[in-house]
Amino acid sequence: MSYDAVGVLHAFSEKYEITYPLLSDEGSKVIRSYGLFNTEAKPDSRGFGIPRPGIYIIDENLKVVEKHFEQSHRPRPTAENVLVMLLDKKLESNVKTFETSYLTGRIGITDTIAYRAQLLTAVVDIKLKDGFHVYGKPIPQGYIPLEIKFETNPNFEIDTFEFPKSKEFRIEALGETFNILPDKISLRTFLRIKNRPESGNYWVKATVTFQACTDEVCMVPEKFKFEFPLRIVNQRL
Amino acid sequence: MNFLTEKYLMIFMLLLLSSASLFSQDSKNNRYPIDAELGFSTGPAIGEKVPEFSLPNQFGKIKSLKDLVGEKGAVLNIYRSADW
Repeated sequence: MSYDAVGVLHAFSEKYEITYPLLSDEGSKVIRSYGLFNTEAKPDSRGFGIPRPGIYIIDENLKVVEKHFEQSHRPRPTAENVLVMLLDKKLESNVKTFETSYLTGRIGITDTIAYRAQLLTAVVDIKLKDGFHVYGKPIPQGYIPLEIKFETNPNFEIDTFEFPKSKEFRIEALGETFNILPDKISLRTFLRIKNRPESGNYWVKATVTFQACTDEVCMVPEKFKFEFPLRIVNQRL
Repeated sequence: MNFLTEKYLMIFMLLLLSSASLFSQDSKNNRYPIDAELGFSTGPAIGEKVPEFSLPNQFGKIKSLKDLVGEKGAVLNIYRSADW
């Protein structure tokens, strides 16, 4: 939905072979009813009437299930990003798996080609066998928490993962507190392509480290390294 | 009522009337609260029902939101323009 006239939308949908409905909210009446009218745009500018752009996932009863809005209009979520981040679709391609005797994991990125200011999603899923757990931070000295680190790249930025709530476990004899993460961990975060990146073929490099323990014993710390190809095009899509 | 009180009453009424119109202008857009992080309203919250509407599609055919939402729901993308 946008404030464009039907004619504009028709030409656009023909040009890009769009099969889904493009709705014309000329006069921005519906945009206003959603509370999204951008009051900063000047009345004599072409921007007058535009919304604060965003996405709603609504159910069959018109209730909002998920939504996504950004500070600036510039970041553009990719379709795959919307599917994975907002519609909870399982990432099937551009995914690598890793495992030990007590843990299975998968890590992936939603897209292999991206344009200026696009938003992609990075995914990490981990499952632990009964009795084993990995730890969140803060963690006592000498122990290794679950960490996912991405190598920095001037052309994109990856937001830090939000970890699920951990259970505090205190060992009085040691005077230490551990934060035990759930057995099943699903992590999703945004990979943000810069506004003016340098076109090229890059690698998104990630390292996953952890040390799992049972109630009795700790396993050897593990480190897994991954590389995902990402072609960046310095153009607007 | 003496002259002074009448004058102040007039000013008070004027202020009340003008602030009322300001208030209704604002509340048109502030039906939904401002997002604290972003500094502007992002419309209906998760769990809330979105406003219904009927709008023409790219073929000029009027569609209601109810028409377009199937069993699985819908993705509603509200964007700035297809023109610029």
